[in-house]
Amino acid sequence: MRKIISLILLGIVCVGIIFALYSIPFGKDKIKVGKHYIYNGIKETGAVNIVTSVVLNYRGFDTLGEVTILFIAALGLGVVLYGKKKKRKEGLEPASLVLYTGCRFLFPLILLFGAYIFIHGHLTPGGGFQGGAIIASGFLLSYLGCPRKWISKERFNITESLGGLVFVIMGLIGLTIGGYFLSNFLPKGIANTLFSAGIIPILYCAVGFKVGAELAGIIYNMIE
Amino acid sequence: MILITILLIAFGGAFVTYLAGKISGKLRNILAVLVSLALVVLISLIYRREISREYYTLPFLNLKLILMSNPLSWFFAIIIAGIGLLSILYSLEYMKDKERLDYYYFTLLFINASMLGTVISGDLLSFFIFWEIMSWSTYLLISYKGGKAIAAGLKYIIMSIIGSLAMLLVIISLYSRYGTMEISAIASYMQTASIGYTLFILITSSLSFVIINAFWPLHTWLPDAHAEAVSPFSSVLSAVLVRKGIYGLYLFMYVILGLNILNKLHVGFISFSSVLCGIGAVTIVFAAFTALVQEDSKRILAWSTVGQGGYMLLGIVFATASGMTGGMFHVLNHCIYIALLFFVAGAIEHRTGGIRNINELGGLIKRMPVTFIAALVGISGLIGIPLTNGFVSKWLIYKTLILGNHPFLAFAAFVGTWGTVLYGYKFIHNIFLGQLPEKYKHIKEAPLLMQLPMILLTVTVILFGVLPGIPLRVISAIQRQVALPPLQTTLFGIPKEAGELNMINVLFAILISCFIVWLLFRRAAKSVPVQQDDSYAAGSYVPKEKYHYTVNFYNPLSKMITPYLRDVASLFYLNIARGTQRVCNIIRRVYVGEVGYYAMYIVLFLAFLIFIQMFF
Amino acid sequence: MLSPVLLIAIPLGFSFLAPLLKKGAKYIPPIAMLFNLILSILLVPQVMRKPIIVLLGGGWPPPFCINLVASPLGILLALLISLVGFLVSIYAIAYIKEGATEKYHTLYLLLLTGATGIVLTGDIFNLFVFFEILCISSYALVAYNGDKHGLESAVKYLIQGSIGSSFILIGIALLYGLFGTLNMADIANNISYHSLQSPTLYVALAFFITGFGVEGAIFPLNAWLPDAHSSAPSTISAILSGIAIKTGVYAIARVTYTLFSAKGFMIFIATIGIITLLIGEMSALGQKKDIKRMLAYSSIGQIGLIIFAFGIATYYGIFGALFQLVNHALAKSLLFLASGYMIYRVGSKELSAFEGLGKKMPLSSLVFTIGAFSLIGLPPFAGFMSKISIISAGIKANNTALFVFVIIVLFATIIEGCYFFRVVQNLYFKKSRDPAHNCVRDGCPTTQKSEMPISALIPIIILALLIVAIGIYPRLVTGIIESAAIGLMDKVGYIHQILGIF
Repeated sequence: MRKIISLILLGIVCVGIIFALYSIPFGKDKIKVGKHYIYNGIKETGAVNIVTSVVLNYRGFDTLGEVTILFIAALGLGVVLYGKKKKRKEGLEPASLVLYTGCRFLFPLILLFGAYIFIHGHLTPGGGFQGGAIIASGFLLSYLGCPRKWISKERFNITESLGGLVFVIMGLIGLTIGGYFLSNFLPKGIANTLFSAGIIPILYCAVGFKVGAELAGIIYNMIE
Repeated sequence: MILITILLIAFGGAFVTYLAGKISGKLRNILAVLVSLALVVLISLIYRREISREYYTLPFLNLKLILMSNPLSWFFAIIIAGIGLLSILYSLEYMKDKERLDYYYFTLLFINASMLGTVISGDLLSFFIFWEIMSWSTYLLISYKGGKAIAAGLKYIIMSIIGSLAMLLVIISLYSRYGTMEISAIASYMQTASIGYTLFILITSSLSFVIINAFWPLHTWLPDAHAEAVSPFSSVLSAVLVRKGIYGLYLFMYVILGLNILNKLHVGFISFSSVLCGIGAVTIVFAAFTALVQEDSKRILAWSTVGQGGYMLLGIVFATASGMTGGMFHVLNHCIYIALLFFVAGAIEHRTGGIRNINELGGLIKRMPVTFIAALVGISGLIGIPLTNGFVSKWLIYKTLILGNHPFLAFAAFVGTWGTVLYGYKFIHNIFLGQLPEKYKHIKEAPLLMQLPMILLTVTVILFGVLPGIPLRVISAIQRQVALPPLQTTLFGIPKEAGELNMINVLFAILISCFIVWLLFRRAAKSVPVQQDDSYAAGSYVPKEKYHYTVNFYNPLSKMITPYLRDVASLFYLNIARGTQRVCNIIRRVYVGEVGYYAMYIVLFLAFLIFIQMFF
Repeated sequence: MLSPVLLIAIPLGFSFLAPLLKKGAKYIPPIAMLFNLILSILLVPQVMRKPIIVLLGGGWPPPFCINLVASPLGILLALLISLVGFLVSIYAIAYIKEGATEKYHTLYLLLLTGATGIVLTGDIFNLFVFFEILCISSYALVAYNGDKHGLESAVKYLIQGSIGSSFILIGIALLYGLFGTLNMADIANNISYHSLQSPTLYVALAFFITGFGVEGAIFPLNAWLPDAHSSAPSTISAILSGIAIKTGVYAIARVTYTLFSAKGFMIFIATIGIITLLIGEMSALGQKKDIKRMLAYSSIGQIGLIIFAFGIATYYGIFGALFQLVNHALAKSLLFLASGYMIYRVGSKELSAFEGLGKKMPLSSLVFTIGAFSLIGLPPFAGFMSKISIISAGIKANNTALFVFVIIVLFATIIEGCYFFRVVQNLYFKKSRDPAHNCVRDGCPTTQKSEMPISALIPIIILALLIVAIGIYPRLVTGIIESAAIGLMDKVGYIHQILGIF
């Protein structure tokens, strides 16, 4: 009975959405804001990667919010798991030599790759979130492969907070110098070079570190 | 300005008294007396002065709040202030050893202040605001004693909220129609309102007044509340607070609508007034007989408060000179003697350690003579024996009913009085006459501070009974204010043209007949005091403790009438309350506690929205 | 330099700072909220003259960039949030002792930041982001106590909340697909051209109302609320009730008035409000045991009243709604805070355990009573003023349906009176039971007084004083509420201010 009712309800919603989508022009070049970003993005922000220009310049405030959401998720997990720590199993079997060596070998490489991704976020596809995720995967590997080499959670917390602070402080500096919160107060430089697009690379570094630390912290919490 | 001063002193005094209580109990008591005394003085100063003054502007509704004073409000204001002062005086001794006294005095003063506020407000919004403040502060004091008083308080506040919300509906509706809440302005607008609207206004607003004045069938809160409150406050409740209902009815019926409109409101022979008359008559009879079967001294008085309200109603609905005057005068008289009687009940409670069941008492006349005289005079006033104030007002009301050709109403009023005689006698007899129980052998007279208010009120009962002209002048001023025919009065009563009543003649007649009776008794043989055992038990042993011959007073009559006195209204409300609780419990089950359902609710809502938007 | 963006940026910065401070973290929220409070008070005169439009990012003109709109409405709510947030955070200094305290304080500050962002932003997607900040931090905080109930209700809240959020996202996507813009003024501008005929708009509106309705606790969508309120720490219940659900209501009002200006739809909103009101109040009356749950149901009822007032769709209605919103935020947070320590002291949420507390905790009981009276709408407390303005708005609208609704509102007030007086009489007039009764924690009360710690007492006393002050002198807040109401009604002005300044 419940299922039938649910089905009917979903059917109505479905019909509604179909009607709604009917009048939305798909694939047509009508998107007002998007067009503006595509044609003026590089000129206005100096970032070659338009996605980045949108993420960190036009809608940089949203990004700050999203970083915060991730931050909250990590904190929230900490709150929920607080006081539920089981004792770590003492007799952990060490990983095999191959795995151990592999981990130690790959770990810096992964970090480096992650860093590359977020530092070049304004030039190539990718950015802080992606880079951060890659870094976190490096930590996951290290947790799984070499359990002895755990990095203390404190450091993650500090990195996390600093990343967030840098973002906010950059915004405030922007407010003081440029008159707008998060305004691009550094010179835009020449497009396609590493040191271009003003504060975008700095923000992306902050985001990268923060996301990396957060995700790693979450993994740490979950493993424990 | 003086009105604002009155309000400031009344409310500010309450707060200051509370704070003073934190420092010392004596200071608090002195302050409480001073504040209420100051109010009496200030209010007597504004006698015969018509003042109207804006004191506050409510920004968002764009309303000016007004205070005013006119004969009607002065009449009620002086009653409130006077009884307030006396009850504070009485409390000094009565409440001595009770706990939370700061709270008690604060609330009592606060209630007095809010009652004053209601009568001197010149617009309906301030009237309502003070009314609501009065409701909740009264609630706080009714429940003060805990125990049974809690349920009584809850019953009171719920009924009172219902009433005041009905009133809120009325005043907001008037406001949105006419854009003002000033009583005089609304009165002039209402002259042109349609009959249906007028009826809506009148009936809805009457609801709250009928509740507060405890007319049948909305009386159910009163007996509990009055019986369970502390005695000084019971007297305030009975004497003043309840009569705010009469004030409100008068305000809406005569000040705002006026006689012309009231006369238009009828369907066939049923009119608004005739319905009120019916209610009044039923209230009188029902309450009188219920009081008859009560065994609790304060409950008897509480029921009599209900019943006497009916007389006032019967008086004021007939807009004739004598009816209106009688009704209003009865408000004053009832206030005086019922306050007195509650003081008496309180004094007995105080001395006997909280005994209210009159069957356990008896013979206290020897121990508490002053209290006895107070009770005797009070009960005489309640019954309406000549030379007490109750006689004059009841006489006016009877005259109205008889001259107005209302045999049934008059009959009901008479029956009510018979009932009053019976329970009045029972009250006096069971408490003061008869055998003094062993345990009360060493009881003392009430303390002086408690006697003082009682003596004052006793004297007033007699004074207004002999010289009714004093209060009647004030009342005729009210009549003039609302353009109703005033009753001509002299100092001793009513002149010949208006239907003669001269209390000084009655006084002399009674004095002379008393003298003759006294002479006759002097001539007759001397009586010989006999021991009770000799006369009643023929010399056999009488157990002193258990035996008490005043139990089951009026037993045959009680047996006869009790089946008819089931409080149907009360049961009805109880059922409503239970039903509501049950429904609420069922409603609460909507929150089943399972997320699956909740998610479905959300989708349901969305689907519903889409559905109605698609099709409408 | 008094940019409204600081209202968001500073708390955000502080909350990133908080985890670094460990023990000192508990002082961070009061500092940040005090800053916000002062800033928003300073902004009030400026905003009353003309709303401030704040551009963010590159400073490109809207709609190309995110912008904040510090309108009277936004600042009013920001002020309310910072005020309540400040007081509650002071209370929390002593109240929150166990658990991951520095995480608590960080999350708490973030929740308030999210709420501030919601009321200030002028961009629909940005609004969604802040909504998520608010919701996710409240999910975590509901579970803060770490017991089974807390986790269970947090998960329930999480599920329903995320359904709601995804609905909002769908709504945003539909609008973006239709108009290619996310700026609210721009969308509103476009919708005025379209008029509300396109089914897409219908459906988007439905999604928005459902989505925001979950956080705003309108009737069938509010099932998370009683659980969440009753199992969260009292400070969080206070914030959820006082602030979080208000933002949902704000969002609904914003969407219906500014975005869609759906006049014909309003009577429907009023109906929903009335149903919510009735169900909430009746459930509260039916709830005789758990006091926090009772307060939560009463919140539902009050939200219903606010939504009803929004649904009246006249200036007076909106005024009443905003006024009631402010008063309810003050009163309900007061009630939750007061009951917080009472529950702590008696060791039980049972209503019957509160018997005779009036003697042991006189001040807390007094302020509880003031809050309760204000909610019932008794003069001279703040709630009376707002209730009377709602009722007068309803009658003034001159609509039979609304008149009937007003009578229902009055009826609901009676119910409200019943259950609040029930608590008040428990506090004051019933004799307290055996002192050892229900006592589980250390420091449980014996017969003597055991008032709250002073740092917890000050905030609730301030709240109580505010309630009385507003009740006696409503002009304290009515000025800004009036301009906020005018601002919300004036859709054309809103569009003009944001799009027309360049």
